[in-house]
Amino acid sequence: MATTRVDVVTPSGLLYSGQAEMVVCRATSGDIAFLANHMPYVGTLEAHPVRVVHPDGGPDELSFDVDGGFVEVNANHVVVLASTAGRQP
Amino acid sequence: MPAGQERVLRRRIRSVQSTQKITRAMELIASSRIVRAQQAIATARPYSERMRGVVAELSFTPEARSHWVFAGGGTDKVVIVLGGDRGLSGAFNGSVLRAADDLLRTLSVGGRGPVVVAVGRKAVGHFHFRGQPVAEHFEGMSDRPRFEDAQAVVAAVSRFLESGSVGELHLVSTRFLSMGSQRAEARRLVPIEGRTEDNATAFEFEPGPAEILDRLLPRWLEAEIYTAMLESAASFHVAQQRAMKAATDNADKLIKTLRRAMNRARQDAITTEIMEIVGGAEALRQDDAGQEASSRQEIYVYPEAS
Repeated sequence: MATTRVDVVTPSGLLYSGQAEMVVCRATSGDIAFLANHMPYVGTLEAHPVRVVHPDGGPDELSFDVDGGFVEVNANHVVVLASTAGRQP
Repeated sequence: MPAGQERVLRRRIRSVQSTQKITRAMELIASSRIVRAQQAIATARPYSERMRGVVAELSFTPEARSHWVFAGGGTDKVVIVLGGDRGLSGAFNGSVLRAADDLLRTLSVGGRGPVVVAVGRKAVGHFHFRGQPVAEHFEGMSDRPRFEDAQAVVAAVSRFLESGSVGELHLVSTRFLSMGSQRAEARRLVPIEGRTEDNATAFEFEPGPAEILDRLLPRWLEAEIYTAMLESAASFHVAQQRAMKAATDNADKLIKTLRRAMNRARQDAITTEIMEIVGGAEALRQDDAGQEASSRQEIYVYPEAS
């Protein structure tokens, strides 16, 4: 299945970078999921886990706690920007 | 008297040597911190670059361009100055504070001067001495800045921004261009230099560009100020390393000069002593008008002179 590149970026570094099938996060107006080749998008995030579904060479799903922030999608590349984020086991 | 001079010089050499030990230690500490500071800059770079990217994408929308962050708003001006907390760093504090003074002078033309937010003990002290009122000040965060420090500074600045009367926000800091080049620089953060691009990607914004911009502004400022603090810290350590290296080298030179003077003083003392002995013996010989006196003198003199 087609994948999209996903970066989770915080001031203390790149928390995650890789390919995945889908990214689900909670935008201000509700949950939003990004599949491969999503249209360019910029939105604000709520403090809620960001789910990275079917990442390459990983478990079924990764989850990152973010304290709000922003999500930017452009050229099949999803960037999650948060001032603090943590990877859930 | 000459023997006393030698002792004085010996004491001075010892004092310069112990100062040199301190400057050498500071030089080593500074150079180890440069490496860490550069790593911190590299770690934070993706975040601030993506933040700038989002701001740039917003700047292409007409809604954002009419927002005060791009179009300008009130008449008040805020200046953030990032100085150091410690000295012994050459021209580091001097140049950034000179840049700050220049900016304050240009911004104060006509009417009220700008609101000053000072970071670093040296900056606070400088403005206090110059009689420049400081609205907010922060100390002790310049050596190894954390992101929370940048957040605290932005929180203080936001209080002014939220009043709606602020039209300009400036930042004075030292840019870390490379290991060999750092520059004190004043730059305007707000209004953001809007860019126009004809074939800009059409982004979908949720919520609208103006709302995103309201939420983005403090986050973007945090990223900018955090980067500036990290660069300032790296520049400080470079400046300190360079200053301490110069001090260590100067101490070397000073020790050499002092040692030369000390050796000469010792030689002088020896020569004087010989002259006294020779003079004394000469006088004795003349008094005695004696026979073996001259041979006895020579035995007496030579071991002392060697």
